Amino acid sequence: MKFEGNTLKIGGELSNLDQKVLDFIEIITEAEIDYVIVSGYVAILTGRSRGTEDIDVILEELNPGETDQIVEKLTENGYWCINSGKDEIYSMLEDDLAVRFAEKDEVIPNFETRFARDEFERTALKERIKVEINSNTLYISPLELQIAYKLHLGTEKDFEDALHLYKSFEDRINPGELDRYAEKLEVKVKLDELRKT
Amino acid sequence: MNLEKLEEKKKKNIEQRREFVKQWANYVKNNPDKKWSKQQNTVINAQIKLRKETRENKSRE
Repeated sequence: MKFEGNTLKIGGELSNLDQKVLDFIEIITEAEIDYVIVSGYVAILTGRSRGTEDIDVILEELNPGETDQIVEKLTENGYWCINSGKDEIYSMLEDDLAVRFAEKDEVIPNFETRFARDEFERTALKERIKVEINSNTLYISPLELQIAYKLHLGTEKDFEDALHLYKSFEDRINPGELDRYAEKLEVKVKLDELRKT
Repeated sequence: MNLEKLEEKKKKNIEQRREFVKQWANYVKNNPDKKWSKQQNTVINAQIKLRKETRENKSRE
């Protein structure tokens, strides 16, 4: 796993989870929707040894027609929305709620999707990092933002995810950027703890 | 039950887990992707398989 320019290249074996993520993202990409993967799966993709129940995907804001189209495409490809009827999906996203899609007859893992609404989600989308995993492409959140965000979430699992990212990309992380996000998210004390760990 | 001892045990457990996370991150950094991903997949694929089996067993009941 290494950066070539601004692209993170990962080789190795794909897990069943990676394959599920790639299948879902392929549909989003084909629909030409900008997205970014954030939170736990970013740590898992970069080697963290744990599973997850959901993959967080931030989408650019769509209008009702565009939302219907992507929901239709997901349905055609065997996905269903586990926390909403088809007709309520847009209004949920519009209300800044997440909608969860899973493969037919399954509930986990599911794709927790939401529109980019707050400053951090919009930044994650705008400054997303390209990842090439074998011959596939994914986009993930900037590492500094991801680490600060994980510290903000606050559970021990989140701290461990932040620690994994910090130690895996220590040479690549911009300390000033990390400090800036930590300040905005009010996690300077946690960041000090992470740096001392 | 001695709650103080329990708290101390919890603290030590957190420290040990964090130490392992650091050790594993270091392993990932310094080994070929094939080597670490194979081990990571054992954990992830087993979890997905277990959930699938649990769901199938429940639907048979």
